[in-house]
Formats: sequence, C-alpha cells, structure tokens
Amino acid sequence: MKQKNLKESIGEHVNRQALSEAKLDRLMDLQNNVEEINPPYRVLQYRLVAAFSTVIIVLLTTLYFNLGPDKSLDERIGNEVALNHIKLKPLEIQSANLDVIREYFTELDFVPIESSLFKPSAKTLLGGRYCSIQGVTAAQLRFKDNQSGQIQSLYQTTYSADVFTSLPKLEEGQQPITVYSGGLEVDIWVEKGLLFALTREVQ
Amino acid sequence: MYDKEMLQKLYRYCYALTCNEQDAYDLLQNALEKYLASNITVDHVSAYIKRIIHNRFIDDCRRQKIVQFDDIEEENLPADFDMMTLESIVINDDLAEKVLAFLAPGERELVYFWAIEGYSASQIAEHMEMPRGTVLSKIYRMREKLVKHFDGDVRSEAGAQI
Repeated sequence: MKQKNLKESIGEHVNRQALSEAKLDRLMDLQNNVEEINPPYRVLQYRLVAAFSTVIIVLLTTLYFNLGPDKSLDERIGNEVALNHIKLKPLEIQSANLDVIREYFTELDFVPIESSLFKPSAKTLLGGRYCSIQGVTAAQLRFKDNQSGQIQSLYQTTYSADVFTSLPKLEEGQQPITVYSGGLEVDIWVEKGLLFALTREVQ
Repeated sequence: MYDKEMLQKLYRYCYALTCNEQDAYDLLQNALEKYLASNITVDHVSAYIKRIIHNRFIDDCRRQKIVQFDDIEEENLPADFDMMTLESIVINDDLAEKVLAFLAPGERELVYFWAIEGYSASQIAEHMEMPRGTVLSKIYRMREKLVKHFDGDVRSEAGAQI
C-alpha cells in the first residue's frame, strides 16, 4: 500500500473536495439577491428599534413630568410659552384686526381680548394660531413692535383654578409674575377670567 | 462579494470540520446568509466568515452533543514534542478520509489549519484562541489516538511504527 505524509494526504483529500457548479451558482445567487433578502430583516429590525425607542421616550417623558424636577407652575408655563414663541410656527390666521382673528378662533371656549397690561397701540398685530398651555387649548396672538421690530407673543387661555393655581390676579391687585426662559422674559397673570402670558426679549 | 474560488476555499474549511459534503454545504450557506443579513463591514471578511462557520459548527455540535470537551493536561506533554513530530507521520494513501472522520471536530479544525492553511502551532493557537501549549497537547493526544486506532497503517517516515 502506497503511503504518504499525513499532512500531504489530508491536504490532498480536503483540496479534492469541491462544490458542484449548481451549488456554487446557488451561493452566487444568494449573494446577488442579498438586497432582496435583506430588506425584510432590515425593516423588521428598524421597526423593532423604532418601537423600542418610542416606548423608551414615552417612558422617560412620563417619568420626567411625573417624577422629574418639581418645577413651579409659573416656571412650567414660562418654559412652555417661551419654547413655543421661539419656534415661531406659521400663523394660521394673518390679520391686523383683532375682530377678524376672534372670528377665526371658533374652537376656543373663550373670546380673545385685549389686556390692560398689553397696549397694542405701538404694535402691529400679525395674526394668531391655536396652541396649548399645560394641556389647555389656548390662542397665540403675535405682534410686532413698530419701533424695535421685536416680535412678541401674547398667549391667552381660559383660567381654570384646578389647573392654574397660585397665579397673580390683576383684579386682586396682584402684579404679573415674570419668568425667564430661553433668553426671554415671560410675564404671566390672570385677568378677566383669562390666563395671559406675554413673551418679551430681555432688555 | 465572494467569487467561486473563495467559496470553494470556505467550503473546504466547512468540509474539514464536518467531514460530510452536504453538512459542509449547509454550514457554508448558513454562514453566508448570516453574514449577508448582518449587513456589516469588516476588514477581513474571510476570517470573519470562518469565525461564523466555526461558531455555527460548534453550536450544531453542542445541539447534537457530539463535541468532546477534553481536559487538556499540558503537563503530560513530552518535553521534546513539537509540530515536527506530526510532520513525520505517514499513512496509507486511502486513509485520509477515514483519519479525518475519526478525529473529533476540534481536532479536525486543528488539522485543517495545519495541513491546508500551513499554520504553525502559534498561528493555530491564535486562530483557535487557545494557548500554544494546548494546541501541542491536542496534537500529541491526536497522534496517540491515531496510532492506537489505525495501528500499523500509521507510521513514521523512518519506517518504524509509532
């Protein structure tokens, strides 16, 4: 019996093994079709990641608002209003006439009014849009100062003692409370049964 | 993308592990699918796929409970034992397939790296992620098994039976 070196013999035996052309073609096709194979995996992966991320975000948001730093009501209103103002979202109704704007806000359970603390005489009313303050539907009226060109927002919503407690009421002789947020001053007060919040650039 | 030559090379690795044509093909196909589905980029694709093949094979063996996890006692290794001892072994020409099939899966992989890839004990140790001494112990034990099982069909090059 012919004998060979173990290494050589094993090497020759293994190297004699070869895939048939049919199997090779199947493996080549597998690689060519990778783009067709992968999408379902990817889509499934992305959906799982997206769903998981959404759950985490909702959870963290809930925890933040329920267990997070216990900000005072005026701080929360100030932050919310300042953030909303800074975004300068497109106006839903553009008019310099308050009556026209009042007619637009049909979904509110109050009528937007002028405040004794905000004299629009030196300002131009640009328009308004719906928004919300602490989950209560509100109106945002946007003004432009005729002299400085500064854009201001006056927010109004129904004053609810259940939601908005401990806020200064003009009728009781109290002064607006001022909150600083996002580089803005936000004055907050209650007047004629409405909650007002006015943004102003810090002087 | 792999060309046919590279696929053949990977197939031979799979064959060395499984000692079965169909199992080798299935192993290669599964590893390739896993790599393609992972959609990741690696520097050494061939080494990466071999790693997938290795892991997959070990998983399959564990499922089938055909892997022997021997405790290697390196102190039993003769002081003068090295890879050259294995190089000196000759076998009957028709025994290669039987020898390969007789070996344990881990031993077959070791033989593949030694006989096909031409790796040294240190390189085998690096690829199989084990100490060099363990590789030498495995080789020593493997040689003892072959001698005992195949008796006179396994000889040294000098002609003396091991």
